Amino acid sequence: MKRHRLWLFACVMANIAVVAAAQGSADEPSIKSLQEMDAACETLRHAIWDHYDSSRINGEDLRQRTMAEDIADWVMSPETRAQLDALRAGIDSGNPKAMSDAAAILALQTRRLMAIDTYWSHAWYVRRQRALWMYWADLLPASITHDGRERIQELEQAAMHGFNPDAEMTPEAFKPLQDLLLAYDEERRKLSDPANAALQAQHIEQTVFDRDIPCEDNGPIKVDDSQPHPARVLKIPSLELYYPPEARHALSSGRVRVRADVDAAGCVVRSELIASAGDPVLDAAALRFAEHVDLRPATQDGVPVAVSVALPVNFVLRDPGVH
Amino acid sequence: MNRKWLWGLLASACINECAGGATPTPDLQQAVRSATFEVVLHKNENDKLTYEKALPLDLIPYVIRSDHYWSVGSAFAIGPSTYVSAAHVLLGAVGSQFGAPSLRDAAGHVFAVDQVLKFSAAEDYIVFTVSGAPDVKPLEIGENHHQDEVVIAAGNALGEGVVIRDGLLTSETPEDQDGRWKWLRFSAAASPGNSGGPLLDESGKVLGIVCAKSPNENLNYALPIELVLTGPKSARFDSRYSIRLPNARSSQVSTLKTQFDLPKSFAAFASAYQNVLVNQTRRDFEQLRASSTAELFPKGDSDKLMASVYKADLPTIVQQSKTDAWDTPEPDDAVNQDLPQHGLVSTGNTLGVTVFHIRRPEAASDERLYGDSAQFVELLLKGLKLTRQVGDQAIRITAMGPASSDGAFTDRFGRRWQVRRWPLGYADSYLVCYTLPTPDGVVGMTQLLPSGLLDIADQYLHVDADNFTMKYEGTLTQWKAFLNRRQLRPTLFEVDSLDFTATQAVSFQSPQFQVTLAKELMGTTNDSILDFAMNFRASGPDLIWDVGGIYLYKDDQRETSLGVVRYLKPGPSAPQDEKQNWAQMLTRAPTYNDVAGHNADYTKFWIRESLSANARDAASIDPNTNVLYDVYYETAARVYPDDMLSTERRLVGATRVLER
Repeated sequence: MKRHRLWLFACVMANIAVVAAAQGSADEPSIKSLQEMDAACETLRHAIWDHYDSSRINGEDLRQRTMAEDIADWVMSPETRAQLDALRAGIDSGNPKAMSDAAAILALQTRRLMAIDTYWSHAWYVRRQRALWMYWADLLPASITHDGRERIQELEQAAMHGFNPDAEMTPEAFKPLQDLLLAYDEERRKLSDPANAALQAQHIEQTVFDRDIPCEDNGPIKVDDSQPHPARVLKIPSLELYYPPEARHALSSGRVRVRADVDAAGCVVRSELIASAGDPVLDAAALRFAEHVDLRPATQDGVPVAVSVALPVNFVLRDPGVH
Repeated sequence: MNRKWLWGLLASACINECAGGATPTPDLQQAVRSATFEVVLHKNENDKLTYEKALPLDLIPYVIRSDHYWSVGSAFAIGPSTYVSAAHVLLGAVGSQFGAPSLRDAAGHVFAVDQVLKFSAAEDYIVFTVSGAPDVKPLEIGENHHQDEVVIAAGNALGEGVVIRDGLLTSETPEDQDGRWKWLRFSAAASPGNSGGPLLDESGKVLGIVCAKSPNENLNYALPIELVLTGPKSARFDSRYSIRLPNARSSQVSTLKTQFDLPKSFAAFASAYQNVLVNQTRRDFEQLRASSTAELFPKGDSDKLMASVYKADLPTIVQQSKTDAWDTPEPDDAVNQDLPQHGLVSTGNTLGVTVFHIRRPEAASDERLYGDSAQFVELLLKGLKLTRQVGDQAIRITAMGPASSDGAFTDRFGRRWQVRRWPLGYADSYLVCYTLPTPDGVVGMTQLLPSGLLDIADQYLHVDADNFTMKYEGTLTQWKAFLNRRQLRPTLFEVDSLDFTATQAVSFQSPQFQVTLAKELMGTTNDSILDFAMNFRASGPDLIWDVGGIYLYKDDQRETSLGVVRYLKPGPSAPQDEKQNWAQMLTRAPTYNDVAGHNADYTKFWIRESLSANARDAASIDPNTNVLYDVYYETAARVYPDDMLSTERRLVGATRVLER
């Protein structure tokens, strides 16, 4: 998201006239030479690439479309580029009509990109809020969620299916999206008590994890002295592998603390939740993860002994990144 | 170094100065001098070389430049028309452009060596007759010798004519290989050119032949003369040495033990001698191949090489690295020399061979490049920068005229090499070139070799040729001409097909993959450049050299290109980065995910995707596949994301992977 804001800043700095027109200024946009047109096109092209880069983070919206597809359909299509090319000769010879036509085309393209950007800023929150609401709604019977689902569906229809980047970018244009965002919050709040109760039930079951498959045999433990040594972590598997896809999709993250019981062979035989991430999916994943931490057992008087260790497990959502 | 023993056999010995004892009488000196000759070779003054400027020949010392002969050693008479010298002195004339060796007396009369009567490579002696009748009283043979007696060494020191110097017989040293005889060690002064001269006792009787060098001290070597007198009338070889294939690291000990009958004329002897050495080298290589099959490419540590595609501008030779892994390192000391009209000569060194790539100037026809050896070598010399040292000046050789021989060699991959040699008469050597035609010109390898080593060097160069790899490069126009030259193109184009039609820029099909690149994919023209990167592939017991990657560049700026590149599943010993790349390709992780990327300043854009047989999307890539293809498009043009996506989709749609 940050890159979009940067782009807006760059746009303003690079080509105030075009952007001013795009934002509905009363001034006519100004293209007075091929150089100016090329500069405006370049600014727009770079902005398109920046938005394309972020498209993967935004994912698909309720229309099952991506931001990259919206941009490809609406902004600087091959036809538009051909129109601009056709105007070049006129601009070069100082034809004012060609200049104003080019400026108008560029203004429209820029306005569309800004509309798409604004829409997708909302769509990203919609996706997140929707996931949170759905997570609770799916835990509960239809009798409880029916009315809420109907309301949300209606608002989703209104917010998503009417998207038109040529519409005026007034606060009213984005009202349906904002209404939808509010509705997710409201409906989620309504489900709070029964959902927490349902989760509580799951939560209790998943605070303890008993190993059911044996640990790998790493051979005898070598002990060099009779000093007491605490259990030591030898190797931690990549947490990314244990990050549940559903939690990732719901943009859920958090820190879990697990107490792991380590036997004299260094095998985690049981893990117990000490502090929850607030998401039972992550809690359960942390318990499974603890089982795969490779430990050297504690030793006392030169003999390996069973102990319990506390393992912090921190699930952090990472930007999948652009290359 | 495996080639060293051969050089040792042919090199002239350098012998040091040392202190002397009592002075021989004038009569004795006269008798010794008249029986001792210089061994000389007639200079070849008919070079067809052209230099960057007139040679400053007056910088050459007067005595050398005014002599029509090169003085290479000494010889002496031990009987009526029976002469003796060190073997290595006369072997310098084997294969020489200077013709047969001769003896020259103090008056300047020259007598050509006629019949070879006895020869021993190990003991380093040769017995022969000469044409004509020198007026000479042979030296008498000494009956015996004892330590610390005064001795005289006579010979042609430093080309100054025969000089006589004295010293002591200091000791006797067993020869190195098996102690088969004892060298006489003496302290009489000896200089380069003394080799082959007599070592005499105080009364002028021959004790031995001055043979060898004492590198840093005054303890020179002579072979006892009785070994020569009792030796059989044949040419004998008996030596032990280590040898290895030029591109492999492991060596083995080999023994050369053979003989042929004498007498023979010097020419017949020289030819038989060369046959012995060439056959021995051939046999050594066969034995090396048979005994180290398990270590030689494509066996041994070949995972990395088998999984890689070679696409460097300069060709190279498959060789074993210091870790024993087989590799195709880019040549060292790479130098590019521009030629007019976009021509280029690139040279570099690998395994002691200079490899090169000549992109011919636009006006030069491929026919002349392959058919006109004078024109070819003139282009090569622009990059090779061969010089002739005259005094303290290095004068560039700019042309060499037509090759003196023009042959062919077909290597194990069916590539047809042109093998050509140009003489450098002044140095008694040849420039040897092995070349392969490419669409844009030629690639090849070259070496400057002494005349006598040509046939043996060919054995080494055949191994190098069998392990030679390169890329094929050229404009589409050049490719069309190249493919029409059926007699020169490699046999792989009998299996793989490459076509150009009006609408399709390039249509390629091999048993592994096929790709059809339409012209409008990126605005291809006849001047677009097509590169074939090559790789090795195992097919049952056979090793196949085939196209591993196709790269099509819109123009010679090489900024916009698309390509299909083969990747083999890396073996267990392959480097970590190759394994990681494979994992990314297998899962279509970035950057193989059909998502366009760009650099920070929006000047380079790329998109790529991995493909396996019958796979059209990420989900259908066979996780157990052994081969994946990277299909990419790259440009520096002002593109939009959908330009990249649509080009990539069409490219993927035009590519079919046939192997698994």
